[in-house]
Amino acid sequence: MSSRRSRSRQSGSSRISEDQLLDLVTKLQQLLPELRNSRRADKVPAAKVLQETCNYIRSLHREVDDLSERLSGLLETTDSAQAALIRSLLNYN
Amino acid sequence: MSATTQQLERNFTHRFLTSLRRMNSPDSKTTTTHAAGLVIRRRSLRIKRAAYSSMARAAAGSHRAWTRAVLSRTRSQRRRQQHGVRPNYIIPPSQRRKSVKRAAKLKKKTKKKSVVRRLGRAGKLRELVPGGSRMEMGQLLEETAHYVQCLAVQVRVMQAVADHFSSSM
Repeated sequence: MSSRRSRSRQSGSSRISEDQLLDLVTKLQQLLPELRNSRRADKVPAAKVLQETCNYIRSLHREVDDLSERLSGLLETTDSAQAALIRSLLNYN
Repeated sequence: MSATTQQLERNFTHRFLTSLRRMNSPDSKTTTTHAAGLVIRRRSLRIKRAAYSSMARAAAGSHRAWTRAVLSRTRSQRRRQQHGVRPNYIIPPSQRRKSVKRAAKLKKKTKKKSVVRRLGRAGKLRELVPGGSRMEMGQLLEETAHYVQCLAVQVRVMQAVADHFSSSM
């Protein structure tokens, strides 16, 4: 654990430039459904990109929560058929 | 979809379905019917944990810090469970206290540069990205981009599996 922490500190000392940081923000922006289609010309503020990223991650976490519940309910209803189904999915994959 | 995303999706799907099958084995089932709601609730937490750790394992080849953070959390949860202590996976990682304190420490360091100032200390993001509290800004942004992509794949696959199950019933 301590070795990991020291490693991340080292990388922290080699600071990256502002341009690189802005590139990373732009890259992040491309991943967000809300901001993906806004053009480079009408620049989205970096803080806004971060805010939207947080919102997006939260919504994805919520979806994982909901889907886990749904899957748990589905596993309850039929067992042997479901087991066979998972097996077939695994083979298919 | 890029080749690496496709590979990640396959890898995740395989791991996730394998753990679902393990959960679905007869001996892991309880026969009491009155506690069915509780059983479903408990299992949904297990499914959730399996989903996150399956993704962390599937993406481990990318050598990202967030995957290590997720897996070490999973390990400590398992250890706590084995020792009979109530696991804290009910508290989502975003609401843990520790990360807030660490992020506050980082605040002073990052005040100098203008972009950095515009980004602030990104405290909220640090709480949401596993291991984010210990990253400097550049790494945090890189890790976030990767984490978001993986989460999106995770949700897409879980959705597909759930749809597949319900359509076959």
